[in-house]
Amino acid sequence: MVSSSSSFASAPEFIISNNEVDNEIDILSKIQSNNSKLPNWGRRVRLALQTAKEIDTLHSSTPPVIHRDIKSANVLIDRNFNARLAEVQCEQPNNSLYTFTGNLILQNQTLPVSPNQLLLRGCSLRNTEYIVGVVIFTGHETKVMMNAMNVPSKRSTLERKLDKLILTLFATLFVMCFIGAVGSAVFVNKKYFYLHLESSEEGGAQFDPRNRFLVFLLTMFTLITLYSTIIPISLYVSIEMIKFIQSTQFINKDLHMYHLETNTPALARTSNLNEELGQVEYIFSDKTGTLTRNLMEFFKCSIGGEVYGTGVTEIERGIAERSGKKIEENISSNAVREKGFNFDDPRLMRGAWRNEPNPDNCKEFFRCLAICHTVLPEGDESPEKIKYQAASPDEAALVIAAKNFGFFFYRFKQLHCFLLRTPTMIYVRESHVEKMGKIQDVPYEILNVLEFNSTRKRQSVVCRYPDGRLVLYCKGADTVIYERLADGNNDIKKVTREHLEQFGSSGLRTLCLAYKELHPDVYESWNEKFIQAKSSLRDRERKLDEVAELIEHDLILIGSTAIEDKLQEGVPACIETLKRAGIKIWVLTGDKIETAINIGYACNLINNEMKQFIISSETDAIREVEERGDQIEIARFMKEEVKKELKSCLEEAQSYFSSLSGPKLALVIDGKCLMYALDPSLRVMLLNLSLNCHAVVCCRVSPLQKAQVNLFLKAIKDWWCLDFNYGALQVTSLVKKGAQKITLSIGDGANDVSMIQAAHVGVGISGLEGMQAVMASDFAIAQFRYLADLLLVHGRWSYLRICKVVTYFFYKNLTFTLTQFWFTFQAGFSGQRFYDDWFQSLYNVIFTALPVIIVGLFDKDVSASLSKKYPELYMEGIRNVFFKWRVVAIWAFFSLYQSLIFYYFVSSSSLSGKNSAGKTFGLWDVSTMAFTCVVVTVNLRLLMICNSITRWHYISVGGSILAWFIFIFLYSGISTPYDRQENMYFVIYVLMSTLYFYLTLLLVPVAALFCDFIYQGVQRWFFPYDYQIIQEMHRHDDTDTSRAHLLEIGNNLTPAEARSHAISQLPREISKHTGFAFDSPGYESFFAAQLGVFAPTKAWDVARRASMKSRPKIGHK
Amino acid sequence: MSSSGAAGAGSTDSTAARRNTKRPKYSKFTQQELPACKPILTPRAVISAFLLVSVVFVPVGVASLLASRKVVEIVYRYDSKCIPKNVTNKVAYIQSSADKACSITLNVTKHMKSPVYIYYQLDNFYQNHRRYVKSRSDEQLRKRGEENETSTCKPEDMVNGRAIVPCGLIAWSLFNDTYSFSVNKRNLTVNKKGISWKSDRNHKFGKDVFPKNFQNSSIIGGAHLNESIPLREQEDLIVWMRTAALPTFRKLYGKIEEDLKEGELINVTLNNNYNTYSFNGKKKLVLSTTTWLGGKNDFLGIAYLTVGGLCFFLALAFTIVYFVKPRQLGDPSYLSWNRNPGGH
Repeated sequence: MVSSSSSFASAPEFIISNNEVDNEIDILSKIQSNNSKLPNWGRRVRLALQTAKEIDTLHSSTPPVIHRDIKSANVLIDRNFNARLAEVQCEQPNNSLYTFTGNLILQNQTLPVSPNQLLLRGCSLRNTEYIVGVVIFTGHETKVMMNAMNVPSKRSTLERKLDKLILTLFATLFVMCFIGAVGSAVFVNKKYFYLHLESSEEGGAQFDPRNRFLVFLLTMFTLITLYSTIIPISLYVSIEMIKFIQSTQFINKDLHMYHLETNTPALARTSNLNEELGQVEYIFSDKTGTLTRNLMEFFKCSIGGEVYGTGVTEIERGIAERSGKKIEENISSNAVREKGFNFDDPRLMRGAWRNEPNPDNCKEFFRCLAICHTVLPEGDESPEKIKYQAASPDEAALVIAAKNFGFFFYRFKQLHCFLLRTPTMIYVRESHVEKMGKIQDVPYEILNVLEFNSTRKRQSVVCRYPDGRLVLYCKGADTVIYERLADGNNDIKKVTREHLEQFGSSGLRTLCLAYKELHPDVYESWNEKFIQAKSSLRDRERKLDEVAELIEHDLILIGSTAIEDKLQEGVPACIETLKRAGIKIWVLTGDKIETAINIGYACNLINNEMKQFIISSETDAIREVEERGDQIEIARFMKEEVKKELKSCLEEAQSYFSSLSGPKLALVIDGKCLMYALDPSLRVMLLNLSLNCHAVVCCRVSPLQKAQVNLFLKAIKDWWCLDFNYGALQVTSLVKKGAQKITLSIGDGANDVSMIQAAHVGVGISGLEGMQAVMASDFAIAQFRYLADLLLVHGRWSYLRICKVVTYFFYKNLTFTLTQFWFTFQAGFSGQRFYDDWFQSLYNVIFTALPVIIVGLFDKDVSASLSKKYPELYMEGIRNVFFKWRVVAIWAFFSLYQSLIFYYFVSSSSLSGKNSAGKTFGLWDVSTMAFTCVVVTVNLRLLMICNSITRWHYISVGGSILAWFIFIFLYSGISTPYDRQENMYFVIYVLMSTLYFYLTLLLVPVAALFCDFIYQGVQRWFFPYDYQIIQEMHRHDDTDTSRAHLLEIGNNLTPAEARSHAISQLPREISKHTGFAFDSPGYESFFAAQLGVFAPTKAWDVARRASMKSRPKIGHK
Repeated sequence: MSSSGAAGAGSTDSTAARRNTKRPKYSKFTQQELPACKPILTPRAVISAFLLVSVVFVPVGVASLLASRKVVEIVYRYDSKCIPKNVTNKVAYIQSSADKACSITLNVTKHMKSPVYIYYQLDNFYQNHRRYVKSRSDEQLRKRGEENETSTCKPEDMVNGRAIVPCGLIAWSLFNDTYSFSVNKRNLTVNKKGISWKSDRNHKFGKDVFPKNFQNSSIIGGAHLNESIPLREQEDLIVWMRTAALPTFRKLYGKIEEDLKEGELINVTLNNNYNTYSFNGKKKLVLSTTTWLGGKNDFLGIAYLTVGGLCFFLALAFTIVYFVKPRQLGDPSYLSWNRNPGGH
């Protein structure tokens, strides 16, 4: 077979061939492969001929395909050493990740190619040397690339609103110019003889009354330049400057967002979105790697009715801390701590288990951990250096646990060819089994593996001991295991169940372990059925399940394990804070409903005070329809169901919503339902519902049904994640479009890129995984918990500051321009400048520029610690309290008022003599006086909006006023011989020689700021903002220097007290579900890969319990 | 949580690892912990600010109002009175070369202390019109050698190809009514020296620049200038050239350096030459004394008193409200999330 691709781009998409497609090409091998012997000469010639013929076929096709890379490595041969040419028919490139239709035509045989055979771009090889494949899509035609969005250029919502404001200002400018121009056209008249309006000299047309329309037009242009100061051009520059410093100096250098372990400070990759961080209402979070560390640790276990393990989980600690207790962890000196193992109980370690009440149980427990798994060891066969390759970190954690308990699984032996089905050996180095300190290597022969899948929710291994004993070890979810236990031993069952519930409610993932000795005869007869089932072509997996049922019964319970899916540090506290800040959090996870809810509890997203709506596709009704298998019918029925569910949830939600003190709402929805709910007809309903919910958990976001078989575990993960993000992307855009709310996505991996790009603000978790998420993100932080700092401190401040800067800019330019506008009315609408050119140019550049930047950098309403202590303050940003049209209108009103004061107070008394020598002021005296008043007032007004005044404020405000005086002293003091009108000469000295000037300078700013002051006083007194109350509450605090003190709340408790307290705080009602561990999506396919078995997922029924449990609750209310 | 920044900053160990760290350096700037005062606009602060303003403003207002009241000001509008009754076309009359002398009598209502300043006041005269303001040449006025710098003076720049000194519309339209005063047949001397700002006189108008070709064009805008007197000493021109800010303005004409007693009748003989009739401008003659504040200017005092009074009143009002409907500072029940729990 000559691979018929035109080019091998760096990252193409393959279809891969495996035994599902065709058993024959399953064992195609490369001719140069070292393992196979070289063919004889006859065969070689035949191969060369066949190759030539196939190239000929290529060349004779239309259009001819030129194979540019013919070499022996590219010639593929089949089992019979025939070089083969195959034809691939496939669909056009598209962006649907989990559909693919194509045919592989090989020797007149047409084999269907489904998504299962497609490898997406970016997959990497693991645990296999090579694959044989055909490139289908390359470059930009790959599905992944077609799914990738163009990198959007993001602008903050506030800036977009600012654009509208600028447009409004342009409109105002136009209106002002229009009024002025009309006035000018009306004004011009021959009667003002001293103006010589009818003269015909060059440039005289502007005021020629004989052509009033021209007068109108020309004056319009004059006025546009005159009033152009209303457009705050320097605003954008100032904002950019402020934001740049905010991100490079404040966000990047915040010690509170520096993660010591990974040596990562926060990184603002764009400075555009700082203030957007202050208005985020929706957070979309990836789970794995973001909320959790994707690190499973063996944490506790229950063996024979006895709980072992003394640790306190993050959620317990979180709950305890929130209620003011402090848990002191006393880690004993001999505790073993490694990745995947966080267990401390001297009763089990170092063979001490021999002295426990039931050492046999312990032994079986450890053996089960060491044998019943599908983990592959890698590297050196020593306990320190070995590495375990596992489909799910849960499994690895269990094997590591066994290792630490003295049952070291160090070697795995299996013949390479799957088809031969040679026995698999597992070698375990057992310590302390026969007597303390004795170490022996025991080989176990693995006879059968009854693989895990989500229907079975258990995994069994039949193994033969070296002495010939046959034992079946089984581990799985508590429900399935309990159904299959032998009678008797009810005490242990009861106690263990209690333990399971306790583990589950602490956020741990549990598994039950059981075993059973098999009689050789029973086994043999069963094994025949098993082999038969395994080699059947139709309904293979159903038959396998049925066969498994035959042997997995009458099990003996050993105990249970509890694995902590480690949350990132501080996640529950952070989520709690964010929730209080009015931020609604969506967690998007590929987990099952149960686990998702568990994680929800663990990270404080959901609690028992919340009303939960669960929309799941795993109801009996839906499953029934699904059994029938008619796709159209399923789709229709699902849609109906989802609609019904949504409707009832929405009604209920609204009834809660209308009553003020109703509970908070949480929505749990699974991927399939989400898919239907995103249908345009239901979208509005989903949106309404989810907007009312404070927490939304989307689980099983990716429908995995179509992407199961994959030899590459990493690829599986990517696949899953990509699919999953396809869903996430839709969700993000939905909220972005529908609600006009600001969304933030946070994720850590390449799979989150599209989500990060789709949201208003993308945050990447930097440090652990690759850089893709970070590269696509706008902000990168090392830990999820820094989100609180990023949003509540930096974002909020930035929002406040930018709002202040923008409104202040608006105010100062409007005020300045309006004084000019009023003058126009009294200057014959001629467009005469009230102020000197230089004043006008330097007003924005020097006299008022710096202080506002200082405010943009330093203004703080409340300190960082208070910002986090009162997260509710953040809601002011979500509601956009500080940059509404109302706020702008208030500012506009005050600038109107102030400009009137400036103009009329200064000019109205310009008639009479201004000093004791009776001399009067001219135009430039009046305008300089007015300008002085404007500069002083506008700068003082800035101080009035400051919440905190540093010495930089004083310096900049004082400096700006001083700069004006220095400027005017120099400017009017120097008389140059050059081409310059000497209007301004000596003006300020003339002014300052009169007392009148000083009196005006005192009067005008006070009168101008009078109204603002009343407004601020009344507003604060009667309609205080939240931050103002907080300021008042903490006005005597001297806390600004340290935020750390807040962390030291609470008193000390003994671990036992803390634990019991924490447990008492745990959810009661939902605590019944125990969150079993094996639900990582890659899991089942790992088995498939191991055994060469294709195990398509059937609908799993975990959610049934979750949904069933929620039903009666709804009924109660 | 990360450790407090202050603690890390002072540590002295400097291993290689520490040097490689990306840990941001602590500074009060980057950690946004600059010392700051946090003013809170408490009711007390508001009330005291109001009181302070009123305490300062009321006395200042009273003082300036008193000063303004002390000024004696006689304003007499003569533009219509000085046209003979039989004249219908005022513009034609004023542009004619007839003798336009006119005599009016002013009654001194109150003792006027020397010096008494004489102003003329024009109304509806746009000295601040863009075309007017820029129609001058400062170079030309200042330096003898620059007399051809008339580019900015259009249309009154050249006459018969020769530069006009002083050029431009402002100079061209120089006010040319003249006044002479007598009390009981005794002429009062009008001192016209020192009526302009000294800076204008000394720096803007050259002592060796003499008028040339002035008012030689077909239309005569206003006064003629004595071509033998340098511009620096033509103070009427200097005053006129300091263009006014508003269309109603006063300009100093001269000063009478003797007291005018109450009840005295002042005969003013004026030459009503200046054309304000074409644009219906008023002309007024003003005699005024001055104080430290200048001429009569009630506005300033009233404004001060109003602001001061308002502040006092508001301080009072706020105090009453403060007692009637007090709001405890930092009352958590005012927080929005406490006001309507479960909202949004």
